[in-house]
Amino acid sequence: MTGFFYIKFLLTNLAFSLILGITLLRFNKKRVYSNLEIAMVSLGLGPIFTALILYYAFIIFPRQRYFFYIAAVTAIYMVLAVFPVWRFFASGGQGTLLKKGSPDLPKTFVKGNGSRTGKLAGTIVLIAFVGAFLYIYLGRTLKTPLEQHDALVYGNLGKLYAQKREIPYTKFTFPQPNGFVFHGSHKPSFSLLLTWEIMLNPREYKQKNGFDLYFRSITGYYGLMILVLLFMILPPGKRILAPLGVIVLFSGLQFLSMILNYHLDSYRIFFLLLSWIWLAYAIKNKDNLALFLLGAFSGFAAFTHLIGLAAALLNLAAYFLFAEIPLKPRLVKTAILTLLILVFGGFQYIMEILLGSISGFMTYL
Amino acid sequence: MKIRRYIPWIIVLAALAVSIFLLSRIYPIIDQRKIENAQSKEEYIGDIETPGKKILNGYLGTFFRFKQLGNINWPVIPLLIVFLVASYRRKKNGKGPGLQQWHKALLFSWAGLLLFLSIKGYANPRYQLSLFPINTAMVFYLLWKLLENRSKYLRAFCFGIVAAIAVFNIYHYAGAYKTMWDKRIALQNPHFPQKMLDFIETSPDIHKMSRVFVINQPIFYYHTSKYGADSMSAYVVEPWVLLRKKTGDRQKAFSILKFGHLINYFLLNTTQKRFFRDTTLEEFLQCECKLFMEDNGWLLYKLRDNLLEDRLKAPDFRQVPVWNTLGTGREQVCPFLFSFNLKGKTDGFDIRALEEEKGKHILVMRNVGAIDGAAREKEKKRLDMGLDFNRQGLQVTVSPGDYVYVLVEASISPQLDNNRSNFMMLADRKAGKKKEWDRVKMPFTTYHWRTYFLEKKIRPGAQRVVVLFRFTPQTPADRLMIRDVKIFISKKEL
Repeated sequence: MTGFFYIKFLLTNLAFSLILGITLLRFNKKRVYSNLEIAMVSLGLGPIFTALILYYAFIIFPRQRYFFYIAAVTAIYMVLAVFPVWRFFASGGQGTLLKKGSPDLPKTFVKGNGSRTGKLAGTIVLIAFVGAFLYIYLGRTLKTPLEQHDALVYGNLGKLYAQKREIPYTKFTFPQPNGFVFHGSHKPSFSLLLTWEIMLNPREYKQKNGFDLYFRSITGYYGLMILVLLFMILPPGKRILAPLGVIVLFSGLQFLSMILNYHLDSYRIFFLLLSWIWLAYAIKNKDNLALFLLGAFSGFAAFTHLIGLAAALLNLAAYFLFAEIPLKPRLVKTAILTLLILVFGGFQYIMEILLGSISGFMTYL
Repeated sequence: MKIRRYIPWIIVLAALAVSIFLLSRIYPIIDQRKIENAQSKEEYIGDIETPGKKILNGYLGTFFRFKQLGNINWPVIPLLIVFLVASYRRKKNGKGPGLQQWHKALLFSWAGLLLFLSIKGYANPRYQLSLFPINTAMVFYLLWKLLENRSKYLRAFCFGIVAAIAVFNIYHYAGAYKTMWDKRIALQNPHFPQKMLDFIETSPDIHKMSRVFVINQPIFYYHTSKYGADSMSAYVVEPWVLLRKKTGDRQKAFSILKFGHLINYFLLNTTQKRFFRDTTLEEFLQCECKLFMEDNGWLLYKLRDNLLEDRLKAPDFRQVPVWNTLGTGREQVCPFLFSFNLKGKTDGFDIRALEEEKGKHILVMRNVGAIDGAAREKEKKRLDMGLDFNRQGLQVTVSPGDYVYVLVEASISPQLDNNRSNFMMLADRKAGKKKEWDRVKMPFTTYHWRTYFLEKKIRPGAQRVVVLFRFTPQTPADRLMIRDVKIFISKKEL
């Protein structure tokens, strides 16, 4: 009934995210950023990066067997994982998977600023909160089928991509053979997660038994990640305010709805928030890792939703206007940023402009 | 010196007083519910249907859509102003750096997106939600900055107030939280049409050559493998336009859908049905379809084999002559309509038969000319008129087990459409002590002429069968018009 949900979840959200996290940590050479912060952020990267690989695979190699796409995704993660693993074994198991000399993550967490008792209490509260949430979410909420309108449209697109094994671009919004047609500005990122799930277990899909459990779990997962981000946005020493922030967030019914009802809101808002965090870092610290992550997260934001595209364009303009570097390098870095945004998700808009979209191009504008 | 120590406390308490005053003004505006009948996008969405709500919940919804986004977003505005002024003054007086570049970049991006969402996404709280987490972080950051050098008691007091205001919002909308909890966690309110989807998936009657007309229901394509014809499809644009018109051609839409697109079912939900109730779709569903299944808010209608009027011409259906288009006065046009022996009398109402292009119609309006002053208070507000079988001159026998069908064209004043006090009804009443009524009701939905259709199987033991038209005007200008009343009796179900 679960359709190998836990395997899909562990593979995509944890294993893939871990590989991306380790890769990113290696670039944190000057230790400008907390390793914990990068590790936590990377927990949200596995699903979207997998969707991005699938997107490009569908564009470049359409209509292949499912196995081909699974192999392509796996191969890319393997390539990313090779270097740190090689270093680990090259050092005879003495080194770490992280950059040499990187502090151990749990150690950093425990030894950071603030009193030990406070940290312990905070950790217990956090674990209790996450535990209660998982108990409720896995035991109750996740048992209900997908029934909300917009989420179903994304789901139908995900099924369509899985059936066609490509991202169809067309100037006209003709219905599919089963009659499905929709006018809206739905972007492929969220839908591709269902495509990925179907590819991993097509038999379950045909039997219609919980074939979309992983797809449905995305809402709650990224909802939790937003709460984690809230802890991270607040500077050390002020994180005591984070529980208060959780109360404030839940004082809006829409936030509760965002976590409990299947939708892409938590997914898109997570990347929107990250793009702003790294915009601040990129301008404040002027380092390449921050610039790279600003481009990546702005691109991911655009990859998920039209609002994300607006945010990506605004971030681009903000970087150009406010980065404290001379004009020439500023132009170069803005060009690099543009390229990064395109590579990490903005490219789909070029495709839509050139070839059209099956649900209409930017219908809401 | 002592007084200066208390100035921050005085400012905080003053700010708290202003906040409480503002909140007490804003909550009544955003909580009011004025329009029940959704006619536009604003009314359909529900919390931006009045001008005040459209501004507060819509354009400024990022800050003031309390129910959806909490009540802690608005302090961003004053805190940001204070922060900007303080930064400017600090720089001007040489006491420290002003606004940093990353502050400016974030403000630029945040303000740009805020503007974009206010203009393009004001209707949907989901879009405004995009800024909610960052607004929360901004409130905390700015408040902390403001209180950085103040006493820890003042800081604790201020953040305590923030928590209290947020908790108040949860308390204020506790009912909505309870509903959400019951639906998504307690799983008490089933809201998924499993039975209907199972039927669609397994029905041999639904296939490539016998499709379902799907009115914006992606659930159909997601949970079944059957074939539909979507209302958004370019192929069915003609019948869909006809159905969405106020006075579309029902018969033409039927022919195109049934024989052109091989449609046999209609799938929609109750919200859509309510939204389209003053369009031809409502008439179409009533006259040309039969409600086949209702499951947790989803409706599956089955299209009839022939047009309603053609079906009723069959010999199985006996028409009761109640409408005479050759008559001149109201008594001649429909002699039985006004001899109704219920509570209603025709006093105080002006009822006439009028000639028009399509024949005669009966016009009913308030007769205010004869009533004025104090008498108006006692004026009868409601008119019940109709047909009473087996009595009052209408000597037509309706037996238990018979099916009665009523077909009427009607038009009602715009302010009375979809009003529960203005309807037509087909009812039977059992004999005996309890004399309980069993009613089928249909409110008048539009001021355009449209056909209303009611059907009912008369219950065993029913002694009395009535067709009732209820008119409850609110102003002297209100009127109800009916024409071409047709009644059929049959042993067969339509």
